[in-house]
Formats: sequence, C-alpha cells, structure tokens
Amino acid sequence: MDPPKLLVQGVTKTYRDGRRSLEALAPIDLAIATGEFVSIIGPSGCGKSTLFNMIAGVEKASSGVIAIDGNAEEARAGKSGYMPQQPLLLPWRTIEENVMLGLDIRHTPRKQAQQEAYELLKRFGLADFAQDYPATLSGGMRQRIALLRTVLFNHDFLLLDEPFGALDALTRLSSQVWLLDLWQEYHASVLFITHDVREAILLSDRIYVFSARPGRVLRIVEVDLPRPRQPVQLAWAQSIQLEQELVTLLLKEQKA
Amino acid sequence: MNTRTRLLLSIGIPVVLIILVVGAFLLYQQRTASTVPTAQGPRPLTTMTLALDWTPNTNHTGIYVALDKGWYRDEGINLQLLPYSSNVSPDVLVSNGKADVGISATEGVVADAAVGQPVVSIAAIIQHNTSALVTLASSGLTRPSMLDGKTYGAFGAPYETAVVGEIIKRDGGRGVFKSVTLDVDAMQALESHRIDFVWVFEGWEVIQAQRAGVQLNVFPITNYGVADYYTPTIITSPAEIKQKPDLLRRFMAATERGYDYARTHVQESAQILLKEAPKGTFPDPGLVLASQQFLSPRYADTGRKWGMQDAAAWQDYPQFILNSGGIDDASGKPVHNMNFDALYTNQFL
Amino acid sequence: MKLRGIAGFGPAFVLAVGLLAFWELYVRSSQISPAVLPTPTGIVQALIDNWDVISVHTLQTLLETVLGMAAATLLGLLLAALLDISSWTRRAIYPLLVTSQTIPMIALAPLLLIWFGFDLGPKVLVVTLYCFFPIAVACADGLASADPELMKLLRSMRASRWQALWLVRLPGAMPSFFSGLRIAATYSVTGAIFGEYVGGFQGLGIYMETAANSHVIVLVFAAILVTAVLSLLLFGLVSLIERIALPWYHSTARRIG
Repeated sequence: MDPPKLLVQGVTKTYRDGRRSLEALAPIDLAIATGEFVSIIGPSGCGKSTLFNMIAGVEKASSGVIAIDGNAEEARAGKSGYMPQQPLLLPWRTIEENVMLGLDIRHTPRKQAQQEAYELLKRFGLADFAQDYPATLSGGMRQRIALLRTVLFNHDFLLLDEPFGALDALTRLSSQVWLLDLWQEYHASVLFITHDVREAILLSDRIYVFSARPGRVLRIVEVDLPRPRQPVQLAWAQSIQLEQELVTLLLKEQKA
Repeated sequence: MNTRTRLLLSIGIPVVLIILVVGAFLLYQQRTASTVPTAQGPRPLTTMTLALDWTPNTNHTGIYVALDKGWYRDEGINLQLLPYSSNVSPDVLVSNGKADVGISATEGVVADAAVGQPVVSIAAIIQHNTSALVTLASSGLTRPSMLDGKTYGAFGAPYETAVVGEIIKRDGGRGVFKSVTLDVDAMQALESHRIDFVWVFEGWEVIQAQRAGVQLNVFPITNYGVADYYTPTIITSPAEIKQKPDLLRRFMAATERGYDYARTHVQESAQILLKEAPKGTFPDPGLVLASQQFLSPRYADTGRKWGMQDAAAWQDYPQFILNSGGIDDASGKPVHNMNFDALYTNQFL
Repeated sequence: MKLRGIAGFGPAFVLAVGLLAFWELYVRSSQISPAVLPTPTGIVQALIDNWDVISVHTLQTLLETVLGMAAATLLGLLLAALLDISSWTRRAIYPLLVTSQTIPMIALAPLLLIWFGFDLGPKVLVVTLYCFFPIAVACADGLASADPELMKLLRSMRASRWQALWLVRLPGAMPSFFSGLRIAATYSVTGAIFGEYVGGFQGLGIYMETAANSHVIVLVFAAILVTAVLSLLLFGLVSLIERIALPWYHSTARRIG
C-alpha cells in the first residue's frame, strides 16, 4: 500500500523563553492520503500555523514524526507548496516573474520558467496581467497569483494557510470556486487552514477540528458531498447539519 | 522596459557620466599641457612649488615679474605657484616637503620652530616692517593711548594681545583692551563700527582706504616701541637646504632679479602683477599701482642687496613675542628661549 | 506623463523666482553695498564674464565629485553587506561609522595633505568619506527590514541565504538605498569643495577662497551658483535612475480585477 502523502504522529511544539515555556501544540496525529483535500478549523491561536510551519520545514517539531511520502527526514523544506496568509508578492517583479519565483530558486532556466508561468496564468484566465506589477492588483487577484506561484513550485502537496481570509464574501466565494477548478486540474494533496466552516465543507474531503491552545485534534469528520463540488451543495440538508455540528463545537472551544 | 534593460540603464548611466567627466578632464589637461614652458637649451626644467601666504598682492610682485620675464626658466626652474588655502599654511606645506619654498613672516617662523617643525627664512621681501594699527578718523582715537578699553579686531595669533598692548603702553596707556578675532575683512569690520582698531599693512589696506575716501589714523608699530622685524619673508625647509642648495640658489637668483626690477620699474611691475595674477583677483587695478608705488622703494634699503636679513631683526622681536608667553611648543607649553640664528640664512642671496 | 513631470517643478520655479526678485529689489533699494551682497543679476553677469576661468574649476570639482560618489557607493554597499552579515559585525562597525562623520576638516585637512599631497586623491577621499555614510546606513536598514514572513516563505522553498539576499533582500533594500544615495548626491559637491580646502591648484573651493580673500564677493556667489546647479543636477540624476530602476515603487496603485 502506498504511504500517505502526509503523516503526522505525536507532533508537539513547545516554545521556551528562559524559564517560561509555552506549549503551542499538544500531540497531534494527522494523515492525508494522496489526492485528498483536508481542512483544519479551530479557534485563533490553536497552533494551526505552527503545524504548517513544521510541515513546510520552516520550524522544527519539539517531538513526534512528520513524514512526507513516507520520508521522515528533517529536511522537509521544498517538499511542499507552502502558502502563508499574506500573498507576499515581490513588488519589483511582474506577475509573471512572481509566479516563477519558486522555479528561479530551483535554478530552472529562465526561458523555461517564463513559459511555464505564462501557461499557468493562461490556464486560469490571468494571462492579461502577466506584465503588470502587484501594486496594481486587488487583494483577491494577489491571492490567486500567490496560489499559482505555490502550485507552480509544487503541485502535488499544498499547504494553504487561510488564503481567502482577508477577502470580502463575494470575492471569497469566487476564489473558492476557482480553487476547486485548480484542484480538479491537479488533484493535489492539500492541507487547508480556515476559520470559515462553510468554506471547509465546500472544499474538503475531511475536516480536522482543533481545540484551543494547546491545540489537539478534537474531531475528524468526513465530508460526503460528491465531486466536483458546487456552492449549491452547501444548501443541502447534510451540509447544513454538518455545519451546525461544527459551529457548535467551535463555539464551545472559542469560549474555553 | 524589462528588468534586464532597467539594470543596464541604472548602472550604465552613472558609468557613462563618469567616463564623460574623466574624458573631458583629460582632454583639458592635454590642451593645457601643450602650453607649459618646455626646456630651452640643454638643461631640463625642474619643477618647484611656491606656497603663497595670501591671494596675490604687491608683496609678491618680484616673483610674478621673474615668472613673466622667464627668469625662472632661464635658471632651469618651472615654478608653480600654489594658491593660499586657509586650512593649511605655507609653513606646514614647506616643513612637510609639499612645497619647496613658501612665504611666511617672522612670527610664523618662530612659531614653527617652537613646535618642532622648523622652517628657515632665506630672504626678507620687504626690508622694514610696514605694519600699523589704524582707527577711523571719525572715531576721534588719534593716538594709541586712547585705545584703552576699546575693541580690537584680531587675526587670531596668540601673541597679538602682547604686541598691541605694548604699543598702547609705550604711548602712555595701560594696554588693556577688548579683543575679537575677525573672520571678515579687517577694514570692513572697522567701517561697520563694531571694531575700534585693527592691524593692517601700510602698503595695502591703508592705501585702499585712502582711495575709497575713508580717513584713517595710522600708527606704524615701529614708531611705538615694537622692534623692527621682517614680514613677509621667503621660507624653505631645512631638508630642502641640505638636499637642494643649488636649486635654492638659482631660485633666489631669479627672484632677486624680479624684485630688483620691481624696485626700479613701478609701472611695469604693477602691470605684470595685474596680468599674471588669476583673473578677478584685482577688482581695482589702481590700487595695485598705488600700492606698488609705496612698496617698490621699500623692498630693500638704497644701495643694499635685496633680501638681506640682519641678526637684530631676528633677535629683538622674536624674543619679545616669546616673552609674551604666547608661543607654545608641540605639547602646549610656552617656549621662552630659542636659537634665533637657526631661523634665517642669507647664504642663497 | 512628461508634461505632468515638468509641471511638477512649477511651484519650486515660482518660489525661486519670487525669492530672487525679492533679493534683487532688496539690494537695489537698501544701503547694502553690492560688494557685500551682490544682486542675482550681478551674479549671473559675473558668471558669464568669468566663465572661461570658472569652467575649468568646475570641471575639476565635478571630477572629484563623480569619482568620490562612485567610490562612496561601492564602499557604502560593501559596508551595508558587512553590517548585515552578523549582529556582531554590526555592533562592532556602526559606532566607528558614526565617528567617521564627526571628524572636522580642520583636523583632517593637514593630515590628508601630508599623506596624499595636492592631487585628485585627497579630494576624492573627502567626498567618499562624507558620502558613503548615508548610503551605507540606508542600505543596511533596508536589508534589515526584510519581512520575516517573506523569509519564511523563501525557506519553505529551500532558498539558500545567498538566494534570499540576491532575489529578495537586496531588491527590497533598493528604495532605502536610493534615498541614501539621494542624500549623498546632494552634498557630494560641497564635500568636494571641503576637500579642496586642503589646498590645491584648481577647483571651485579654491576659486571661492581666493575670491573671498580678494574680497570679490560676487565671484564667490557665482561659484556658489555653479555649486548649487551641480548639486541639483546630481540630485536629479539619482532621481532619474531611481525611476528607471524602481518603476514599481513610484506607480500609483490602481485597482484592477
């Protein structure tokens, strides 16, 4: 049997500052199968971003095992497409050049990187903006460009940290539809952080609910909606019921 | 415009600018190099630097005459005149070997010896001192003794107060006065009424005031008990004397010719000074002529060789200013004694 | 766009003309002698009359300035890199940098003269000394202000330290670098003139001092006018280069999409 795309076992994170120590994450167990879309929802400060950082190889786990494609090596950087909450586009690069950033780091020949970036922009309807600078784009656009940058770097395994959190409701919805379209194309394994329960239900195959700090897994739910997903499915009875369950659970955690 | 073009332009433009400026400069150098005097005869020209003590004036006439008439060239010397800079005195330039010769005065030579950077005076440009204290005629201060309690515009030498005080005392005053160091023209300060009296030279500022119609009371310092001393003088370093005595002799030969000419040719030498000095130095050519008329007979005593220095002038006044306690050695302690004979020599005249 | 750019100078132009007119009228109507405070028209006239001499001095000073600025830029970048390498080097070097700016010319001039003489060297050195500091500090601050989130992103993409510097931190530091460069350019010319006070055969500083000592004040002002024009030109040049190099910094954000 193929190893899961991502396997997190007993991972904790404790920050030490002199004599004080802060336990950010209680032991976490989490797994993503290849091609699976998994969301994490939880109250603020529960350590979701910390977990992301560890998986992306930016921070070290205090204990536990993180294995990507069955490989538990510490050098995890570069093995995932990591997208933090801010789009972090480089203002001195054009949109096309921003999308190729990951390839530049990998020393891909310039012409080839340019081609791939442009193809990607064209595929998702953003080719018109290839020569513009990020300063001229709206927030929603920038998030999409950042997503494309992430995908171009690694389209097998994506770590997306609240990519649509700062957008207004309508832009968020259209971005979610756009992301679904993207996922249909690549069938990437995705770990997605969000505050929005409906967003999690719309996008994911499974949802992990985290507790307040120190974060631990409270619940794992399956989302049984058929693919390809449509926003209208959120109005179905099973969706509404699931939404209610999760919201109640979260509210309890929030108050705690 | 893509990133590559941008990068090229950003670095390219400044580089082009630098190349242009350097190019223009080198071109100019080439053009003027062709007008530098070339050696005439078998002897190649030795370049010598002379550091001026002020902007060109009638104290320097002999030098400009010798330059104009090619007498330095005849002696195999290509003389470069270094303009005066307030930050570095000719004394420093000469004692550090940055200039072969320079122009200074007795006070300067004494001070240099005190701090251990000695220079040697090899000629007196003017045989007798022409300094004077002056007041505006309108001030009613008609004699030095009336200067008690008044304000003096100093040029900032440490012994000034002692010398000025002496002058006032000799005339019967107490020698007590206020002193303000001036950064501006002495005569302008006087005319602004902020200063009551200043130290100037009869050969220049006094004549300048006369021409401008400003009436002055003039008190020549040697009339009031200050020992006669030489200012300005031509100086060189002990090292230069040791290493290049022949060069110095040739330099002095040409310079002597220049001053001798100036002694007897007032009009012509004034014209030469006006012509040779940098453009714009003399807004009033008439002043140059008038000053030259005053100074020409005073470069040397009648019947005597120009530039000769007597022991008395290198004894009395130097000792006087040492006694004032205003001359310090390199560590800041006042110097009271000195071998004055080492400060001057006539061997190159 | 071009027209708008030129029109941007409008207010400065109006103010300058106004001040000059006031100056001219003041001197003409007051008791002040033109020998102490010349009129603007007198200054321009003197400049034209003496251009044959002043142009030579200008070329000398300009040469010292551009060479000094080039050296200052290189030195400034180098020092910024040193300051950036580790906090230890930063703490060691910074105080020395600041002290280097407090040495007055009076103390420095004779030393420079004795060590280097009258040639181009000491003048270029003085310009470099006064100009490298704003460049080094501005660039170092720009490097230090890199967004930590961005650094995290780069690490997640396995960028090396060198790649982070070249791809992100250095371009990100360019706006700061240019503001430091603009400051340096503005007083580079005066720096060259200070350097000439050490002594020399030609240069605007030497010309000014000679004119001042000869009490020909109008020529001093003429030289000052040339200095001001040179400084403005250099300032403008740096701004131009900045516009070319950093178009993204100056474009007004327009919303699309």
